[in-house]
Amino acid sequence: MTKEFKMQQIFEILGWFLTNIVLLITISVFLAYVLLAVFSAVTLRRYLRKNSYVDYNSIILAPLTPSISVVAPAFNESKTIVENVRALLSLYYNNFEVIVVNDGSTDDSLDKVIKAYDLEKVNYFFDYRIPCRRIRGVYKSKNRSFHNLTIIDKVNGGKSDALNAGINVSHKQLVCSIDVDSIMEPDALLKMVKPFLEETDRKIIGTGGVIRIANSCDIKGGQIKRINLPERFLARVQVLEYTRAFLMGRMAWARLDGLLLISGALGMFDRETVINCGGYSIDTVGEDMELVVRMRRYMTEKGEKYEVTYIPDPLCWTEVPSTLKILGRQRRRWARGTAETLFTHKKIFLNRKYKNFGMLGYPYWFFFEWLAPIIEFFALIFFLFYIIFSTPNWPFVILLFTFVYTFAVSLSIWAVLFEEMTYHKYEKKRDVLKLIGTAFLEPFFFHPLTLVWAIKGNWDYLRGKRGWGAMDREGFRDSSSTAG
Amino acid sequence: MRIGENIQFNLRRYFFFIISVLFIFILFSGNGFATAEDPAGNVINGKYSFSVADSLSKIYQETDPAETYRMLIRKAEWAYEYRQYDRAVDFYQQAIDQRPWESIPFERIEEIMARTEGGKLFFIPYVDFEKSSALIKILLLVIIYSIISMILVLIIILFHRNQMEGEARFRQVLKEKYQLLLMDYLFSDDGLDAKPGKINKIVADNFKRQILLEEMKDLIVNLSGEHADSLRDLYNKLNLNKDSVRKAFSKKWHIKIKGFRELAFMNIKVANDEIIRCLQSNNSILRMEAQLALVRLNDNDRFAFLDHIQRPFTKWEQMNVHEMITGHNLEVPDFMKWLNSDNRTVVIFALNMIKVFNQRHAWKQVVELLNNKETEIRKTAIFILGELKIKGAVPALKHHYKYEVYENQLAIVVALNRISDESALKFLIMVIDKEDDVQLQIEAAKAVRDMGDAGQRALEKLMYSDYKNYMIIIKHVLDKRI
Repeated sequence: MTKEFKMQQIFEILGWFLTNIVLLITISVFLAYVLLAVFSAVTLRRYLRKNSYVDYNSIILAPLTPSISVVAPAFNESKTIVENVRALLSLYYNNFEVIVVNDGSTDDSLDKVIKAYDLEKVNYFFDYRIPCRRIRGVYKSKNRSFHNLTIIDKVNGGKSDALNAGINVSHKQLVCSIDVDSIMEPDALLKMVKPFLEETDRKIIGTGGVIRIANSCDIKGGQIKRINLPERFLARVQVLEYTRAFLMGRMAWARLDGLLLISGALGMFDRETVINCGGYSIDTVGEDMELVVRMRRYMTEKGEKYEVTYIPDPLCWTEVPSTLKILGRQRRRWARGTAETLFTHKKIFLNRKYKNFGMLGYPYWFFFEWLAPIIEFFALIFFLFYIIFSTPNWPFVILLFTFVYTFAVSLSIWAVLFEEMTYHKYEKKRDVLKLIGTAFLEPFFFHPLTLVWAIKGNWDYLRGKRGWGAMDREGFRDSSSTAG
Repeated sequence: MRIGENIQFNLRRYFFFIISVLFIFILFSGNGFATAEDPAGNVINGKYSFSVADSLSKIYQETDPAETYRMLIRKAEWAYEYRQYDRAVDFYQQAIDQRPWESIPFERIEEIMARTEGGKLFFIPYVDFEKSSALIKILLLVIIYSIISMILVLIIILFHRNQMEGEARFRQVLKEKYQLLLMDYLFSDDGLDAKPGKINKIVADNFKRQILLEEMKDLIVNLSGEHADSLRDLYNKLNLNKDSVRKAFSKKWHIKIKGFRELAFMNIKVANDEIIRCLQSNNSILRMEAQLALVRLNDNDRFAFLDHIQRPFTKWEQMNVHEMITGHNLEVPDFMKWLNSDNRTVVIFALNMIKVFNQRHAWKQVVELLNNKETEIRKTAIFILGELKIKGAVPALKHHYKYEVYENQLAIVVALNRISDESALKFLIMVIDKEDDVQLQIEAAKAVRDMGDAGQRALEKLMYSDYKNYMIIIKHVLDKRI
């Protein structure tokens, strides 16, 4: 056998192997997406029907509602902190407190908030039930109108550490963790508390809500006044991504009892369970996912019946990165966080003791969220080599590409339909058409980047990288300031 | 070696996955790949040169037919292996001419036809995909499905919005119109007698009838006496009651709920048995609506359903029943009678209602619940005793403290703070002294603080205690801003 022939054989074998593996993964992923979408559609329909009989105002007036602590970590949020705290204080609920944790900001965030809300340091005794970095002080307002506001000033320790400090200071039954720069819908707490009120013999340990994208929206006084589709392509693509993930994915996973992630931007948890689990982990950048996984493990291992629920209503608006550099950093962090959580809790993998959480939820994340991008990336690299050094089976390659492309686009368009049939937040028809146009471009311009970021994130994980990296924000478009 | 440590998975758990992967792998692997070297070793960049094979075949011409047959089969197989299916079929045909009784060439031709069939699907000219035709068919079908669904969804999206906006406008117009119509009926002398045709038209149309019903339901909430009866008469006269009863017996839960609500508002009891049946439904919202309907419809014993609840009576249901009582000024029952219910959640509801409606006379029965085996019932009872400020419960609370779980101990200290009875002062100071838990100490110190002068003096004494340093806790407690 000649040397060229040997090379040819190796390529043929590798090509056959990768083609079939990629094909297998693609078909499995698509099948999973279809099943999840169908499940989501059924669950969403039922939820909306059920919800049409619900009057959330009855929660405001009821004496039986659980108390809630809204914990918002803040780091260098000087530009927006005063407005954001005001928005949090004006949430509709009768028994809640707002705890803002200044995580060692190097700007004037603390000074601004002290001045705006007439705060003074109080003699607070800290009970460090969950370990966190040193708390320098707790501030309360002299003005009784802000009696439910607490500001914690602590040494910088990262988002998880700040949340843990907030939970230590909180004394309410439920903890709602949010990003201070996110904008919550005024009735978000009412909607999120409802699953806890509907608790039966299964303890509700956490509830997640839908996060929507606020880029290009008109914002006044920390509240969304007009919803617009992001002007920039990169942010628009993320609208599609979020819609797919939240309306088509998580809704179904909650129903299947396999939900592994409640977004860090908005989540409500049973405080005692969080404390008993040890709070947020400071060893991972995927602290939101890690907490949910750990809480579920804790409940299963304790032999207690529990549930993690999910609300499809858009409850929180957040600014997403609109430049490649910042988005890349965020996605690398997500990929690293996923790997960290999955490998820390590898015990759950296909472990029947954890039921759907171990048999469905975890394997889905392992194969489709963590492994699939890695395989896809290497398959693409190999394909480039194959084109250079051999002759690919072009007809099949084109057929496969068309299959993947058309399916991916149709899935995105279905997600737009889900949004349209449920909450139709984009009033302008032009916005919906733009979103559909974005769906056609996404596989070419955005998807390859997500693969690169996934690889980089996993590389960071292998190197044992720590920390978050900078997250520069552009700041919301505040119509009050533009008008003025 | 972080990776090594992390990837040491238990292979047993992978077993099912590996098996399923292999299964699907084999399913989609098609007919394999072609890289075999031909006898003459003529492989050039993956393509076989047939000129050599052709020249070889000439040597065998005019020889034994069996030998020619074998040669043709070999040639056909080479051609097949190198994807030249047309040539392969030619060679097999020639082989059939030589030995028509042999089955192999026929089978191979059928196989080639089946393999290339996928490529000829859907008006696509012959393409060699080198994969099983089943797979190619699936991929092509998914592509066609995706394209059709994209177009359809796009059309739905565009039309749905127009339809939705139009319907909302129409609904609003009808609502306003029917409101006026009903007011006219209630407050003018002619009533609807002047326009019988008009009202019949409304009732005949499903959509319009529903809006009329909703308007009636909204209106009757604000009416009483003669006007309310008059509206009920109209409802019955128009046979809308039959519509509501039909809904109540519907198999669809969301229609059932509409029926229950309409019947409850119009005070029609004919479907009560069906409503009672739904108290045990698996559907939580249907269950709750049945409870609420019965509270309105069951005049003799509005809360009888509490005796029959088998499932957990959720907080959400409890809140709605409470709202029904307060919102409609219903007579408040003595909730003490449900303190011995077998349903844990009903007991908790009764306890909460005792607090909300300040039924202090039930306090002795509440104290008895401190011995209940359910932690949550005990905790609620402790809380209620505190909220009702029952001084008589102080000895019992102090007594149960040492037998309770941490959570309930904390509840006892908070309850003693609410009751604020000096007889608990010594006990609370002991909690501060003996307990290591900061929360217990803080709550006990707060209770002492709120006990007037005696409490203040006790705290001052503690502040300068040589036994332990309480300064930081007491400072925290004395800071009224917290």
